[in-house]
Amino acid sequence: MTDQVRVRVDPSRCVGSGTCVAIAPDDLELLDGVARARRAATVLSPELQDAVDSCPVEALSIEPASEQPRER
Amino acid sequence: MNRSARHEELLSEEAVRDPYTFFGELRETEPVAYNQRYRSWVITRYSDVSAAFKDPRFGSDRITPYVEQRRAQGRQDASDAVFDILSDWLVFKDPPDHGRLRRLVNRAFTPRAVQQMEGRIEEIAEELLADLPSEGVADLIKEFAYPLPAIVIAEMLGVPASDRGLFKQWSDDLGALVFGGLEDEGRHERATGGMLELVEYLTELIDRYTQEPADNLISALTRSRDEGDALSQSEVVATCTLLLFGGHETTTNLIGNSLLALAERPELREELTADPDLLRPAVEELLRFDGPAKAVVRVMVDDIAFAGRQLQRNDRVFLVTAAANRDPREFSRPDEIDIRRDEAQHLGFGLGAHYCLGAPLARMEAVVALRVIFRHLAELRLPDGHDLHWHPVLLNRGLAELPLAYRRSEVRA
Repeated sequence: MTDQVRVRVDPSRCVGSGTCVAIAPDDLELLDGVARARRAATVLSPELQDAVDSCPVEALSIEPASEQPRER
Repeated sequence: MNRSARHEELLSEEAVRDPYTFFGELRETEPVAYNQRYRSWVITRYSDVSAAFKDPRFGSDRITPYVEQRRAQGRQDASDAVFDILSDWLVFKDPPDHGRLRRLVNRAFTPRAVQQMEGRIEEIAEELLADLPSEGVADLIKEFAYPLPAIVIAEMLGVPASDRGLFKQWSDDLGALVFGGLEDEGRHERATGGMLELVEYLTELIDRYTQEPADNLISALTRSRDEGDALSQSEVVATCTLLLFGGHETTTNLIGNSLLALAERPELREELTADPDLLRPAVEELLRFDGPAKAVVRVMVDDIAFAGRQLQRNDRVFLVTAAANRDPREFSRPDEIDIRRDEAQHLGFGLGAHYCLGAPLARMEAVVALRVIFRHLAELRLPDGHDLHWHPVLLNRGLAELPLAYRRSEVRA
């Protein structure tokens, strides 16, 4: 079974470049110029990893979906 | 002279010397102002500039409307070739081409990719300072802030070290066109000559790396060109010219402006010398305080109502990041440097789809540059009576030269 992950976006860092959305449109979207995860849990695909690594301001991170969100 | 007349002259002596006061006055009195002389809107508040960056109706293609206007006026000449190249620059693209191109180029500039270059950047910075005498006055733009980013981007692309010197003149000539020099009549002709020579040179280099690929950006771009038509030959050439050019002047000015600010603040310099970990937040604050970009141009794609004014399709707009970054609505004591600020992010690299692709590299180069300078040069100060000479251009903020008195530190790395 493939482990589920959660994508976290730090909205105070996100500059809305849309890089992640262009690379992994299934997992991320832009809302009012800020990226956000489209799903509460997803599979860590190569595209998603690429999207996280490509963020120009390192606003994205991935954590196991089993963990409770640290803060909101 | 009344306020509005004074504020028509965006390149007056006072506006070039102190754009923060000049555009700050506009920000507080007429935040979305129409400038008759430049036939452009001038937008200066943080909230408006930031909204415009994120709004695709503020288009980035300011080349096509200009070319169409030239054609309509029957002005066709050799400089059309330059605009052909510029029209393929990522910075002037709108969707969908923008996303496709940006994704390809982005790989080389991610924070992780850039992190791996830190050691080499430091080595280059060390080499540049190695030949300075033990004390004296050195123009740190010419000796350091200019060559450092130029060498880094040339190496990234795969330009042989022996050919680096060729680029300075081409880059300077092109800069006069792109950044809008003041009353510089010959700028189109010089930019044309420089661009055509640069294109010829790059085309040969691209051919060479097509036949013998190496670990550099040109080889990566040619691979993208040959795999599934992701990139056309003209886009490869244009992207190389953009990267060479983008990698030059703006980072030079970031390092130069930062050195000036720190030369004038010995206490802060001492703090950064003692604790180089503070350089990263310091560079971020210096980008806000006196970054290398004063304004960014957009051209309206649609008619819209914006902050109480009517902007019309094809209207030109200056988003004055220099004024937005000093907006007291977002930043407390905006005219002071505070490296521990925890406020809004500055707009020095823009925002949205055109957020500076080179931002991670520029940050890294500036941090390394300051670290190496402070490691080796102490007692930095402007010589008495020196008048600063800022480039009289609208979009960029940079010094023509930065002579600093210094004494070499005894500690060697």
